[in-house]
Amino acid sequence: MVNSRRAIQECLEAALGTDKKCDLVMLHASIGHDYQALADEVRRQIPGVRVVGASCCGIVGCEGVSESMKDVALMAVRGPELAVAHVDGIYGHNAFEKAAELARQLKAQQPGITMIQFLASGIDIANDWAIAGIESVFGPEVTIFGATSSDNMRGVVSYQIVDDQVFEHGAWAVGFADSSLEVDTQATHGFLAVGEPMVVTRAEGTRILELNGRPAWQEYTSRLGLDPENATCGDSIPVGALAEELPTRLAEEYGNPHILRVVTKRDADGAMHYATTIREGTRLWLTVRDEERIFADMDRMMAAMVERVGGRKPVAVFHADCLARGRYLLNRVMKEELVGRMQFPLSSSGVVPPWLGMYGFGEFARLGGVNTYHNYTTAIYAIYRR
Amino acid sequence: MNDKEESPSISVLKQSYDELQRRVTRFSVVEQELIDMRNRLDCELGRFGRIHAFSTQALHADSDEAFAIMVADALLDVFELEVGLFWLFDEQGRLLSEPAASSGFRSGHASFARIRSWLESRIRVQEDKSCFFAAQRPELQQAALDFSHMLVGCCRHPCGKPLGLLITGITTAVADFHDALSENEAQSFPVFTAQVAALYANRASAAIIRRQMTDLHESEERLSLAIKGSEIGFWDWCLESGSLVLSHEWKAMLGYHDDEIVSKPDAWLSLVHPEDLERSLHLVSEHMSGMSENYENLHRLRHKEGHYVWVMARGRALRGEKGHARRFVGTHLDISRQKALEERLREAEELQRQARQQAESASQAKSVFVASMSHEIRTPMNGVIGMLQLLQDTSLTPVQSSLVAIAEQSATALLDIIGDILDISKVEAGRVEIKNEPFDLQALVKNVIQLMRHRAEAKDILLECQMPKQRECIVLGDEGRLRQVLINIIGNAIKFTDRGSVRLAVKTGRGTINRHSFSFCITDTGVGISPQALEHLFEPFNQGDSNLNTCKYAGTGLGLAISQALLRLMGGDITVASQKGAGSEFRFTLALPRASPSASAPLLEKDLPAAIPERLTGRILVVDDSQTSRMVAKLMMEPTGLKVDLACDGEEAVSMVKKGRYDAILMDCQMPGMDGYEATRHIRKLPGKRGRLPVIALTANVETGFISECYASGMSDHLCKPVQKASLLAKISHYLAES
Repeated sequence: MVNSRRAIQECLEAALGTDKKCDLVMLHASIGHDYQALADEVRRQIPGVRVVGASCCGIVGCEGVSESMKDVALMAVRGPELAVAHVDGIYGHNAFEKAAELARQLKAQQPGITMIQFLASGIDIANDWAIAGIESVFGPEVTIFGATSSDNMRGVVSYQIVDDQVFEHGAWAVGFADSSLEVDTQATHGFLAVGEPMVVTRAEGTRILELNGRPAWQEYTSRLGLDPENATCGDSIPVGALAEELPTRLAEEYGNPHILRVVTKRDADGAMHYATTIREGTRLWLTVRDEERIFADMDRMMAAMVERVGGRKPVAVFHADCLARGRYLLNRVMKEELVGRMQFPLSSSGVVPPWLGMYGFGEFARLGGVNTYHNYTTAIYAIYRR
Repeated sequence: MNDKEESPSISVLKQSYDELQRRVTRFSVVEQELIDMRNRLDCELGRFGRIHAFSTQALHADSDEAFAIMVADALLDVFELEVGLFWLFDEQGRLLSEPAASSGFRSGHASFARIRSWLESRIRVQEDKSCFFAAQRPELQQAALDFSHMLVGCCRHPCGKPLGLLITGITTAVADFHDALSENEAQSFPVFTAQVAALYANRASAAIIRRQMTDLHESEERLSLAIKGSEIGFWDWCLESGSLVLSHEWKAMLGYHDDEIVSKPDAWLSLVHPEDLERSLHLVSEHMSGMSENYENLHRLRHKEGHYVWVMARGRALRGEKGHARRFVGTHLDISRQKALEERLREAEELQRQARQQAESASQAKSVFVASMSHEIRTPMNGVIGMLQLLQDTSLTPVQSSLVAIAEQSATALLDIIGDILDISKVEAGRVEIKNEPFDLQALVKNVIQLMRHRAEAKDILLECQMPKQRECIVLGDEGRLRQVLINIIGNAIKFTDRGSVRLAVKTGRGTINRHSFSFCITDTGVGISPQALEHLFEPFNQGDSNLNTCKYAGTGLGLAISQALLRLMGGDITVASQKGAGSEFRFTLALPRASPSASAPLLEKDLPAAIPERLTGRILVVDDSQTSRMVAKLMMEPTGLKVDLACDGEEAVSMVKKGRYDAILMDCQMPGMDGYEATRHIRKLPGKRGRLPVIALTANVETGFISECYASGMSDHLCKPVQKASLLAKISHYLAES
């Protein structure tokens, strides 16, 4: 829907019908939209409602997937046990502090928060430190799920919406304090690490300065067979997932010995922006996609999730998918098939539960009982009534 | 194996491994390129799908404005760019000042005026029939447009006429998020353009059809209302199928309900009056064969209640290419009421005609009676006056002479009364004919003044005349009737004036190119007329103030009525202004046609020889059935030396002319046996000089018709009875001089 205001009107009508009462609206919209117009229209339609949202490369709803420049999906939430907080100016170097501040805001509103949906700019942030920042307030027991915002894989800018404001380097979090609710999260990717790893020989925070002793971008693109001078992140992201080795214990749960990372941005000096902090000496493998494994791992993950909740059906599902798993990886038919495979196990008599998904730069899901940041994955966050 | 032996092997393996690794990554890149290609194809397929969805949706656009908005939105929906514009051309093929609709266009973007200017310089819609292009950033930057990429397509009507432009593009602000679509990658854009063009053209056609449908519907409603209101029955006979449609009104006209008459041609045939059937069938057949342009048939159809209804049928056949009738459509109009009215009107007209005939007969009888009376009175009066004139020539004492003069005046007055009665009778019967012959108005006026002067002098009052100074004024009109009017009014003025003067002023008014306008004003210093009397002044038999001494001012009271009637017949009217005791002023205006320059006025009496010789020589034949009249004429002429023979009828006169030698004949007109006209015709047939003898009518019938008949029979001149001795001798003298 090209008209942002009309898109919101139609979405709200689909979600709420004529009874426009709700406390929180979470929305995702692709990069062709006017985010301010989207936010304003939600608040015009439902005066006083809290709004959080993010730019993305595509959306997933009950009706399926769409990855155009003009997609909008939203979920309207009712309930008093909610907390919404946001911070601005979150980057790699201050991710912990900003996230901690965010968490404190949440806790100030709702001390009994058990799970937190977190969203931050996906381009230049240390997501591991962000997790750490939140956990520093709520402890590692709190489940953090969510995604990082994106553009359409250009790595230029991404947006975060909070109420009537639109940020480029912001983060927001929604805390759920309803003790009757719980969330089950899991992520999967299905990529294979190939060849010899590249060794991080120089790094600063989230920036990789050198790989194998060479300027990182040059080494990275050379290995990918891309022209270092002209290649963009848009070129490298689909083919350049970098794999870090997982401990055997986590690899077993993950179904894959590697966790993937994305290069979201590159600097003129050849430094690459990594999605988490990285230490020198880390070995990074290039990967290839394996469609069979992608589907197989998806099925394995969904089966595990269903098994974990003992057959219960979720009351709502949040879903974060890597934009590199969308139209840049799978054709429309396969993509819809993949979404079908994740929605069907959680459906009740064929009815898909309220579902809000987005294609972003990264995903948050627990791994080995620990809040973890992922890339190139499909991450499912199924909310259950206890 | 030592190191030296192993090194080459390991080195080869390493190289192979590196190569394999490169191939794997290369494979990933190639695979990604394939995925990208597939994605682009997916996108293009998606665009076609969205074009289809748009087309379906746009069909339901309820207005051109809504359609334009749909188009602009669809540009973004389908091509996923930032801005969509739908920009229409005017009738001259120029872009309108602003697009019909825009989507995604924000205030910070280039102005419409700038975009329009660039588009008009960039495109040649008249020459470039396809007119689809993709403009890239350098060109757009040069045009100072804040766009990095733009697709432009021209929507054309099927006939080629440009309808509008579709423009979609991305501004530099968001260029990083969009891939520029090259012309090859946007094959769906021309398709979309063509689709919009077709839909837009169809909208116009659909609008025309809707408007025509609405007009047709309204027209049908009007026709239906008109038919219901006018009670016109409608019939439609399809000759090919034989079916006949008869409207509700058609059946109701004959007292039937819709289901009581089967709509077949037989239905009509069975209802036609037997007397009208053959003619009706003939008329139908005549029209079918193309002999008549329209079918019109006034005929009778039997009403359900048994009586017949007069119906006017009108229709027309619709013909095929070869002219044969294939459909026959028309109307029936019940004209029974008109027929009844017509019948009553005819009866009324018959009654009116009979009444008019009776009135005309009565009027004719009256005219004949009056004319006859005139004739019958004038004949003995001819004797009386003639004898009085002859008596005056004898030796009389002054007293006797005075008595004779009074007797002569009385007789003349009696004649005037008879003349007036005759005139008013003719006026009332509408039998007065106004001549249109040339005469000299100036001479006429002088003549009238000359005639009236002796009357004025007799009363010792001044008679003045004022005329425009011009040599002559020849106009067309009835000189005799104008003279009559002037004599009447001036005579009245003299009659009612005892002291002072009577004045006639004639002025020329503003004429036209072919008419002279004259105003006549007769003023007197007489007794004047009271306001009460003025109201009835022009009514017949009215003599002004009833309290005037009617004995003193004797008269019939017809003069003014006759004058008014004559003036009206001549195109003028008369008005009067008067005060009791302060005289009167009569005015009338006449516009008389100018006579052609070659026309000449006939001689007036004044032109006749003024002096009659004391002695005349010649032989005159007097023909009159009245012995008195013969005697009067004889006694008037013989003292001058003329020899006079007498004949008592036409036959005798003709016989005498054949035998004798005459110089002139005085011929009475109405005589028993052969009358004067017949006798004159016989005389004119006589050979030689006899056939050319002057024949002067001597008639008591003074009406124009009778006098015309005199000339028609061949008479040379006429004199009215009672004849004046001077006039008689002047005429005789005139013709004797000629001979």
